[in-house]
Amino acid sequence: MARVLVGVKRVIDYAVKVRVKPDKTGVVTQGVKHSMNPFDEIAVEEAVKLKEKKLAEEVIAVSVGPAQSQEVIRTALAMGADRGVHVEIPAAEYELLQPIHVSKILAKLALDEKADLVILGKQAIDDDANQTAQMTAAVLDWPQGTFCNKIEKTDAGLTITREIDGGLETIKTKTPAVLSADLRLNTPRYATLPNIMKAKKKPLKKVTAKDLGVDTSPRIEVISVEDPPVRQAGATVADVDALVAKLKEGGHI
Amino acid sequence: MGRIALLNRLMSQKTTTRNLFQFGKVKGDTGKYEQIVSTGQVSPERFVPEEIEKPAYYFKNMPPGNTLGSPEIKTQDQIDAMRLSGRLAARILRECGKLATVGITTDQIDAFAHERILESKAYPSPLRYAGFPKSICTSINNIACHGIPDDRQLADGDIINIDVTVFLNGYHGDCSKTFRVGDVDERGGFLVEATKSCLDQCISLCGPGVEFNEIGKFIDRYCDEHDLASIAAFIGHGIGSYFHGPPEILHYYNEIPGKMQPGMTFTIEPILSLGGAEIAVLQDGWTAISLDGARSAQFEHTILITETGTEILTRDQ
Repeated sequence: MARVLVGVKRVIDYAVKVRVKPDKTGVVTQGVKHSMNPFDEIAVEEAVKLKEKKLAEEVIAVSVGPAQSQEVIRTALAMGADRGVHVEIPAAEYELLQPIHVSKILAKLALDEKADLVILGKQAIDDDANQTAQMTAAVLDWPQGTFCNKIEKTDAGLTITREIDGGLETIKTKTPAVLSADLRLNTPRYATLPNIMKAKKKPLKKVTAKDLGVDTSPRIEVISVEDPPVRQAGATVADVDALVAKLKEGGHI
Repeated sequence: MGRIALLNRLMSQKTTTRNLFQFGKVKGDTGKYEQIVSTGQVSPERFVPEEIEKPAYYFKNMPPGNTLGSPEIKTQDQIDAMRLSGRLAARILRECGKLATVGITTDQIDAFAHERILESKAYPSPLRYAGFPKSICTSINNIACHGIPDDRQLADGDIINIDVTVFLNGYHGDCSKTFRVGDVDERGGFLVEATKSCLDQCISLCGPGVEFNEIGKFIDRYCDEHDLASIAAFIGHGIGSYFHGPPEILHYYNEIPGKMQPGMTFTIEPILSLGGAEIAVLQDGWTAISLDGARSAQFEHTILITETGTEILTRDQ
């Protein structure tokens, strides 16, 4: 398995309290702390671990987004990726970019870079789509291993343990394949100062979606973005009879 | 998850001291202290006489040393030389500590250290190392490490880490301590004591055949117990005729393989914080500041692994 392509997305940091813009067109991102999507950190860690086990030779980190996406590529390089690819999308178009666009971009890159494995985070914490890995596999017509809890290399290909409702499922697949990382796959490493300094020298290539022959024109229109309705306060009742009465009163029973 | 976030600032180095105002309120550190929000004036480079033996980087700007690879096993002669460097570094550090009182500037401490090191026929290792402009590092309150001495006066209640490294007879010795200035509050005092104890305990678990990662595993447990965070970006390092070399000493939980062997010399230098573990590097390219404004403390020793245990080369003697 020579080359591993890892997708990394720049998202609002998980610890930030997200606020909806007053004009309801989206959420506030200006001046807000952004980081690498946590599941993508796990994906990068897995790819770097494969390299350390000598099961992969090169790890390429790719991010699709505006100029600031380069920040998360640099973080991936500091964690051990060998080189980066930034597919630059203008900010306005990025607002409406969907997994269908990203999956076509990643698929093209996987073929261009002759990747043997594509590892993505299972979902991004901003859209919670959980679609890109699956769609990328479909575009490539490659097998997919999603919600990975464990990845093992065998002579025949890969043995993957997946998290599913009710437990774990083990599947075998050939390579090349597309995998998505779930929470318990590994614990991502910190980037130490020496690695951060080294990362500055690693190559970072910039391309456009057009270079890759992918059309990123919007397929959706955002009508409005709103806060969820404010939760009504609950009421306490004295006893079960009162509860039943209240439920009947409300037409619930 | 999310621990690695915000290294983008390290990457882009676009952070100016003015941006610090957006970092705003202190979350983790509820103590009373002056939060550093800007760097001061750095004085011109100090002169080093011809007859002082200087490291190669004095003459040619070089990147920081490579800390990957096999750690050096030192010969008896090298160990003897390291003992002398370590002892000198410890002595200079002790003298600097006495100077750390209200009103003195970090530049004045730097001037003193510079002169004392030259008097001892040694060279102050930080000077011109990867472009560092001064002879010691001085890091106050919410500055994690690599602070550049400047014209700021020490204030009552400050905690200041002074990091001294000397180059004597071709070998470096590296140590640091966090000192209290005037009346330090309870949280600050706790932080300083806890960090010192952390280093002491890390050293006591070292010895021939011990895995390097035991240090990181210990610090991880220690931080959990004391509700502190270890600033992961900064590592301990091998040291000898070079300032920084293998092995890498990670101050966080890790499973990186590698064992200590007699003859190895390296530093352990945990930076523990009352708040989070994330830092950013300022525009001067060196000063590491905590993102949440919380204070951190650091203690460092250069140690030698012996046949039976360890020898602290930079101990107070």
